[in-house]
Amino acid sequence: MQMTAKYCSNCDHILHADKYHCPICYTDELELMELSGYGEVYSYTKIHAAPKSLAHLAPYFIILVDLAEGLRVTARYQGEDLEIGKRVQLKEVDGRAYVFGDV
Amino acid sequence: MSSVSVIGRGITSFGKKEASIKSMLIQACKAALLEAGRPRIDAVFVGNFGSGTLANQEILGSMLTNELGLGNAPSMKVEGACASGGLAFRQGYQLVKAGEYDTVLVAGAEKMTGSDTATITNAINLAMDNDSSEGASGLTFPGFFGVLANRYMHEYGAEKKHLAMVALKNRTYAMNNPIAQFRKEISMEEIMHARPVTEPLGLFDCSPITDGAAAVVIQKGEGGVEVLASGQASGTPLMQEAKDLLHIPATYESGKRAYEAAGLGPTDIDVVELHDCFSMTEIIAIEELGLFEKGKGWEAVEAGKTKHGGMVPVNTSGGLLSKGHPIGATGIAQIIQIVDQLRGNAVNQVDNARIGLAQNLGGTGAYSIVHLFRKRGA
Ligand SMILES: [Zn+2]
Repeated sequence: MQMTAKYCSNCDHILHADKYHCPICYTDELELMELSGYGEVYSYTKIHAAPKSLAHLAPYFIILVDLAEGLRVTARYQGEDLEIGKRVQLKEVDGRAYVFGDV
Repeated sequence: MSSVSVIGRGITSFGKKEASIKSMLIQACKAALLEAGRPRIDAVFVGNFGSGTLANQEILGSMLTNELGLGNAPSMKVEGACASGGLAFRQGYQLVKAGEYDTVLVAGAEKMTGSDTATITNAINLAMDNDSSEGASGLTFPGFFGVLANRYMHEYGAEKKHLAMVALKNRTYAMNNPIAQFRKEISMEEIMHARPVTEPLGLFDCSPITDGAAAVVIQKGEGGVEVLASGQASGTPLMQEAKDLLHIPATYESGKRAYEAAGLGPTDIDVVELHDCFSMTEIIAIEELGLFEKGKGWEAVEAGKTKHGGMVPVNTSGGLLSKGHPIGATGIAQIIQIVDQLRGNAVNQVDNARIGLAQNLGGTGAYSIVHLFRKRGA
């Protein structure tokens, strides 16, 4: 599964894929960077009270993942068992949302 | 340096109410103006988050000015999510301090229970950055504090029971507050086993949906509880961009700026109202405001240091958790509790309270604002 980030070569700064520009040097010319899609769970929660658009998934896990490349992303986790430090892998991109699962 | 004081306060009861946003605002403002002796009002500021979506109404400033017979006084609505009330107060305070106005009316209100749950959830989610993959992931407001809580417990050894202790303390205070939404006694057992909302947070760890309004009159001079300083800061609205999830930099910075402006520090504070939108948020806030060391807030809660007989009583009104959280009114309601404490006639009065602090948070750390107050003539 493909996952990308943006990269500012002026600042040697990795940015989330949905950024419009570099907030440090203001350049709009960001490079596209391929990510491995592997990471480690920094923390998580299980959401029972979901927004209407995701009510069909509830309860679902939200994780904050430290990616191998150093970027931290908020994502959903499809799986049953979760703990801090667990290794996870990107499984799909649902609309704009990243969905991770077990390695 | 010219002094600025709060010379009148008014507040509605908090809860599920039949009243419209307009009638609640009128009620709270009228009480504040009458208490202040109906001074001439030079400007009106109204803190509100989502009246367009939730109450089908905008132009709150003009509407209120007209209803209160304040002539052509300039007016406006101020929005900063849950910090809207605090931000409105700051606008009024700064303009009086700068000499632009002598006397201003600052109100805050939210009408939430008139909408269905889906509309309310969507409205609250407007206070997140939705043009992002994080917004699309399904992270919710309480979800942010659930993620934070799990890491906090992992990092510092706190347990779910420490979150429950915050909820229990605030409920115990609310039981004495006639305007509070929840005044029924609850046990640790009930809090610990309540329906999960976003684990580890359960129902009692989360502030409710509330209707209500609050208002204060601010005037130059020493005619009331003195406003010593105002500190405000912004922070990232995105969890994935937080440099350290266990810190809320906006809370820290707003506190630091207010302390510096007043020439005071955390040890000078006798009573605190802070933004306990979730039990976890209260623990982070007591650390960020310097009242307790980083990572030790939960120990302070366990040792009873944040209530009467401890070091500094926090949320003696019952807090957002039990007094209720009508979003735009919250910042003003917090200030009213501090004003009452410094006048010596508060619910859950703290003996000899001389300096008070009110902290109002917007979003998950997008805005924070701290005001410091001093007892009249102290
Ligand atoms: Zn750059």
